[in-house]
Amino acid sequence: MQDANGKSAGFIDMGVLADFQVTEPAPFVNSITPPVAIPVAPNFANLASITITVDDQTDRVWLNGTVGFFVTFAAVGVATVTFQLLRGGTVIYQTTKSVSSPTAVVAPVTVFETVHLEHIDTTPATLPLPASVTYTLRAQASAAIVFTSGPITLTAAELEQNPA
Amino acid sequence: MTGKGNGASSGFASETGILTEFRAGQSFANLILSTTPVILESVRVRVHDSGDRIWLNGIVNLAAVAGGAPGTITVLFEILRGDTVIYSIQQTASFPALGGAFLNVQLQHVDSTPLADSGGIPASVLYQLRATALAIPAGAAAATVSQIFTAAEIEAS
Repeated sequence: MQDANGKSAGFIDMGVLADFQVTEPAPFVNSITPPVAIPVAPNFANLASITITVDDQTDRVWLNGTVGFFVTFAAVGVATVTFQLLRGGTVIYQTTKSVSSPTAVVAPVTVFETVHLEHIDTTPATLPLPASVTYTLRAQASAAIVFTSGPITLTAAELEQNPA
Repeated sequence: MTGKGNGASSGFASETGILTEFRAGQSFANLILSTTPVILESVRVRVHDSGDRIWLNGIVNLAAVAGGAPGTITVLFEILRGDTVIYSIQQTASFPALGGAFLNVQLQHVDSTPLADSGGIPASVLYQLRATALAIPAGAAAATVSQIFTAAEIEAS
């Protein structure tokens, strides 16, 4: 049933975004000096951490991470970078990006890249509540030629369960 | 405080939404990129409280085409609050001779001081998404395919 302006009669929309946290260690490119070297396996570089309070077991946490990084090629090749989101010590999301050098590399060539991660944590916390939950964004490279000088941004949004 | 049987914390006031305003600018305009900065999109947010944060997100789809030689074009993307650059990120497009590349870039920033350049509240704050090619090889070119820029006003937690 709709009213005259197209709204469902009898329903009241309530906002479900209950909490929002951000950590932004570097908001600009070339703002981290010296740049952070992204290590090769088995090591990772922790880029950002964020803590959010979860009040209800039905809450979701919407995570968004954005990283600018660069690869310095001395020769033609490909570098692969793996980015992970962890809840505490548990990996809950992972993405991998490959960066190719230009076809011809005459001198060390720097290629700038960006990556965005998005994940909904539907099981952010267990009893007892409320609970402080820490999320970490980290990276690992296939070769020791990957760096980040910023920007690095990690946000966490607590979303209540949707209305019935 | 221990939880109730259904996992909800007892004693907390009902949580209410803290997203209080949302603005978006988007287009499929093909904007030529050069070493002169180009404004891709703009949004204006009305900020009411000193504790407000503005969550800014942008996605730019772009294309680069080569001239007679392989090369790269690196583009600097910036978010401005008024005339102040508050965020930047760079993306390189690599291409073979006479080839091209399609790519996209995503930006994310939270402006925790949206009133920094304003005289008081409420304030109408202008955010702009801007792009500048750092250098373009001879014969090469770059342009946007589409762009979207959003601003969400979020109350203090």
